[in-house]
Amino acid sequence: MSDVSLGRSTRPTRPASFLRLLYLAGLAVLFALPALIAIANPFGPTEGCCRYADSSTHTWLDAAGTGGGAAAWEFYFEAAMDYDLAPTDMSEAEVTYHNIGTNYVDVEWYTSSLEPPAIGVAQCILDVPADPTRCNHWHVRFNYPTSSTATQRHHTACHEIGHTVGLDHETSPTSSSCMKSTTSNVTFSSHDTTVHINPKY
Amino acid sequence: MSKRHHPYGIALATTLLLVAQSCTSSTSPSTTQRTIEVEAVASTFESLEAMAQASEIIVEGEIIEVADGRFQPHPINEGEGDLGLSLTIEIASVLKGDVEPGETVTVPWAGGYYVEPDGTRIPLVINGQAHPEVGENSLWFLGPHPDGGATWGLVAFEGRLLVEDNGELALTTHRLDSGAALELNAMTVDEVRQALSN
Repeated sequence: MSDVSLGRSTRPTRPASFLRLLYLAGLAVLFALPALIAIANPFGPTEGCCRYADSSTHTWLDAAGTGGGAAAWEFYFEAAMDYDLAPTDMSEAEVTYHNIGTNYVDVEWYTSSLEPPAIGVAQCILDVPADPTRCNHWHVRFNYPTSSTATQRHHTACHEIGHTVGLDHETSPTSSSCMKSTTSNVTFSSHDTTVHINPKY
Repeated sequence: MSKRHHPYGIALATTLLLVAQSCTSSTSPSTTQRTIEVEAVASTFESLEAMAQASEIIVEGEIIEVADGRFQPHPINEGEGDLGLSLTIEIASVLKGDVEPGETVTVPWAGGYYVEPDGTRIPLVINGQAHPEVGENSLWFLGPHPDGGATWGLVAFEGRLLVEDNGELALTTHRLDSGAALELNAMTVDEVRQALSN
């Protein structure tokens, strides 16, 4: 008995310990994997650039009017809302108000003469007072001299809308996300949608 | 007999001091501690060579003046809008282009202030880049600007690089997904000059 007991306490336990370690290492990798993937595309203000949206319905206002190259951007901004954001678990709605009391439209877009090299910018003008990780009111501005191509405009609209829901830049070379700086990418990636947007909203 | 300060005299002096202070602050715009982070889409370049080709001039120089630039009004709210900066740079050395050391160039800077209707200025931090300051020594990749003349536009946000005391370049943007940015980071001005001459 004592030999068996001794045996159990020495040689037979080595493979078991090794397997346990392997199992634990596997678990660690499994749990760390989403975080490692997320590093390529950070989300929210604590790990990335941008505050979260304040609700799952993203309201927006076309404040561009008709001048200043607005028409050149209108189509692509609406396309990005309709075909990039709307298919996620977030919904979008065009509104006609800037604010009703403290309830501000989530995204207000217009055209502006941006200094080079900016093509489009997104800036959170107003936080949610009780929760500064969320943005109450974003301004998205596009450069109105329409030297940009149609694809660049679609990319820029998708990219800036992405910032307004909390997405940071995508650095993975294999990603097709519009959050990359490559202007040929015009939609969110499945990673943007399934790992970030849908679980949050 | 000891000399004592009259309490009304102290109160009067304090009041005058406060009035003077409020008069001073009412003549210059107030700036808040808060900043607004701006995420901008701009051209990026795959390599230093590509960014250099897109630049009409590449200069190393010192910022000698930072002034208010173009004001972009908000389309709805009167008095509200974005105010850019106008940088004057004295050229120390020329890596490319038809300009000479000692000349100055003007570079409009997209990240200035967000101006609220009451005139309060909130600093804009564009793509992680702090406001350029007088005395800053940097390398600039510049192209034509609609204003023409001695006014030039930055070709990409990674086209402004600080020149450290040891001569190494440091990126000012947080966007590191461009080949040019990765290539330039920690190069020296002389290494860039050499790379461009090859």
